[in-house]
Amino acid sequence: MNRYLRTVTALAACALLLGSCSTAGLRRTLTRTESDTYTHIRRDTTQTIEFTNAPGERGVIYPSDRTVKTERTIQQYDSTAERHFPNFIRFGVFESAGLLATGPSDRAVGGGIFGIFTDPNESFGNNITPKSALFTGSMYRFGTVELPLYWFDDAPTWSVGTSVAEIFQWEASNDRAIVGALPLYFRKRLYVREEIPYFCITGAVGFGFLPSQYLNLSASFDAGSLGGINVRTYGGVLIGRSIEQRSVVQPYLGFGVSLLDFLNHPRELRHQWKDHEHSSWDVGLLRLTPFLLLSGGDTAARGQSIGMQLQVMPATVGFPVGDHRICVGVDLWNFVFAFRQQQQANPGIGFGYGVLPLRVGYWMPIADGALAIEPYAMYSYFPHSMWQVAARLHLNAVEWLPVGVTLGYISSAGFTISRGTIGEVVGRNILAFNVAYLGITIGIAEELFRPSQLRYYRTEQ
Amino acid sequence: MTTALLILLTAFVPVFVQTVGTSDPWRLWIGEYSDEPIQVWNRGMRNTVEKSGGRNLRITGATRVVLITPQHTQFRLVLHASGSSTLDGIRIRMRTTERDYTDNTQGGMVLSIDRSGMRIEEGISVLATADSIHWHLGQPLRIAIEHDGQQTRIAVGCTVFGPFSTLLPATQQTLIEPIGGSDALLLLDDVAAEGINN
Repeated sequence: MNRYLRTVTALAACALLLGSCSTAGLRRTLTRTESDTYTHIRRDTTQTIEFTNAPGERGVIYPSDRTVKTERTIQQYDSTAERHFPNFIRFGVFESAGLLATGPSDRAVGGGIFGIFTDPNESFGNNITPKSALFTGSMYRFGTVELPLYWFDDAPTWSVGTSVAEIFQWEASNDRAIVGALPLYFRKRLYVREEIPYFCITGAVGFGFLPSQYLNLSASFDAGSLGGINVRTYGGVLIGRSIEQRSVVQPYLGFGVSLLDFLNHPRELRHQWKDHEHSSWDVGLLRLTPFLLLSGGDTAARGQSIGMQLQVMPATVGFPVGDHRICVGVDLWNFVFAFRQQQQANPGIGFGYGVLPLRVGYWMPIADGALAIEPYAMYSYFPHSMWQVAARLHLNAVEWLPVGVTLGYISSAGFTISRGTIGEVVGRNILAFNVAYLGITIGIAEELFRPSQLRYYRTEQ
Repeated sequence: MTTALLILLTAFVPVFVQTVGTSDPWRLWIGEYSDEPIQVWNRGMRNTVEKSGGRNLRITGATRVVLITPQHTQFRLVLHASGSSTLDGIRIRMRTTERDYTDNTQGGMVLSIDRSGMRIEEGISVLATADSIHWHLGQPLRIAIEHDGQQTRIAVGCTVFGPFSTLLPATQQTLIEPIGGSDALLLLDDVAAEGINN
C-alpha cells in the first residue's frame, strides 16, 4: 500500500500544484464573476462675462467693453461593477465512511461507524491488523470538487466532479483495496428538503483510472451541509481492479461524515457571495493554540511549561434555539500536547487526542462580530476520554487568519499505546493530565462570521 | 502504453471538470470571427435562443436576450427583426444592464414596437411616439441604435428619432424582449455593432 499511497500523494500534490498554483486559480474555479461596465458622460458649459467699463459718465448709449468666455467641458469616466457568485455545487476537503460487510467480519479495518475511529496504535499509519468489527471497511475521499453540469436539455441538479484522491479499503489487507486519484464523477441529486440543511438522494457514476481502474455506481442519502458538516448513508457497487490488480466486484453499504464540505443548491449559484446564507459562526481548516500551563504540568519542571492544542477542521454552528448564540461544534481531530516530563529516563508525555469531539458553547459577538467571546465545553469520547472547559476571545484580525486568546482547563484520562505513528511521533509513555492554561489561538484558513452574515438573522429581519 | 493512457486520462479529468463545469451554456457569441464580436446572454430557458447563422438569432417564447458589446459602451448596433404571426412586437431596453433591470434599479431607455405603433420612453417620460411604424407580419424592421456620449439616436426603418439627451450611463448591454406568447418566434438577422470613438 505504501507505494500506491505515495503515488496517490504525489498525484494529489501535482494536481494541487497545477490546479491551484495560486489561490486565484482555485477562486476562479469556485467563483464566477460578472462585471458590468458603465460610461458616464457629463457635458458642462461655463460662460464667464467680464465688463470693463471706462471710468466716468458715458451715458446710456455708450458701448461697454464686454468679454464673454465660453468653456465647454466633457467629463467621461468608466465605472465597473463586479459581482461574484459561487460556481460550485460541492467543495469538500474531507469525507470518510464506515462500510458494512465488505469482507470477513474477523478481518475488519476497524474504523467504526464513520471509518475514522481507528485504534490509536494504527491511527495515521498504514500497518493495519485485522480485527473483528461490524464495520469491516472504510472509504476516504479528499479534496472533492463538483461543478454544475448542464446536459439533458438542462435537467437540473446534475454535477460533474472529481476528488484529489479516494480510497476504498474493504478489509485489513491491500489485496482488494481500491485507490483512485482524480476519479471522474457524474452525480444527480434529488432534493427531499430544499431548505438548509438540505436532505437529498444522490446518485453517482464514477470512473477511476489510476492506480486502480474501476467503475463506482452508488447512491447516498445526504444531510447537510451545515457549517461544512454532512452525514451520509451510502450504498453502491464498485467494479474494477484493485491496486494489487485483482478483480473486484464489491457491493457496499455504509455511513459517513464529511467536514469542510460545502454544498450549494443550484439556485444558490445565482446568489452573490455577499448574499450567501451561512449557518455557522466559524469554520476553518486548522486552529492552533500554543499555551502556557498555569497549573498541572510536570512537577519536576524548573521553568514555565508550554503546550499546544491543534484542532483540525473546526466548525461551530449556530444552534436553532433562541437567538442562535448557543452553538455546537465539532472538529475532525483535536490534539492536545500538554507537557513532556523532564529529568526522567523514559519521560512521560501529557498527550491526548479526540476524533470528532463535540463542543457546546455560547457565542457572544461584539462590535458587530469583529470580536466574539465563546465560552465552551468540549468532550472527546474516542479513543479516550478528554474534556475541556474554556473561554476564547476571537478577533477577526486578518481575513482567513483570525487570532484569539484562550483561557481553559483540560482533563485527559490518558491511554496506552504500544506501536504506530502516534507512538513514534509523540512517545509511548502517555500520561493522564489535568491542566489549566492560557493560550494564543491562530486560525489558519478560518473564517469568523458576523451576525449579519448568518441566515437566522437575515430571516428575522 | 496502457499506463501512459491511464496517466493521460487521469490528468485529463481536472481539465475536463473545469472546462465543462465552468462553461456557461446561456452565453454564446455572434460575429465571433469579426473585429466586433457580440456576446448573447440568454436569460430564459436554454432552448429559447438559438444561433441560426453567423450573425443571426432565433428567439422563441417569452424570454429576454442580452446583446453585449464587450469592447464598447458607446456603439452603433443594427439588426433586422422579423417574426411569426404569433409575435406581437419587440421591446429593446438600452442604457441599462440585465442586473440593473432585474434588480429594478434602472430600467433604461425603452423602444417598443408592437401592432399599434412605436414608443420610446425613459422612465415615465415618453420621448417619441409614431403610429405610422407598426409591427407587421412578414415585414422585417431594420433597427439601428447609436449611443454617443449623453445622446442616443434610434432609427427604425428610414425614420430617425433623436438625438435624445439622457443622464443614463452608457453600458455594454442591449436587452431584447419579444412581445407575444410562448409560441412567438422572433428572428434577429445581421446583428452587428461598431464602437464610436469620441
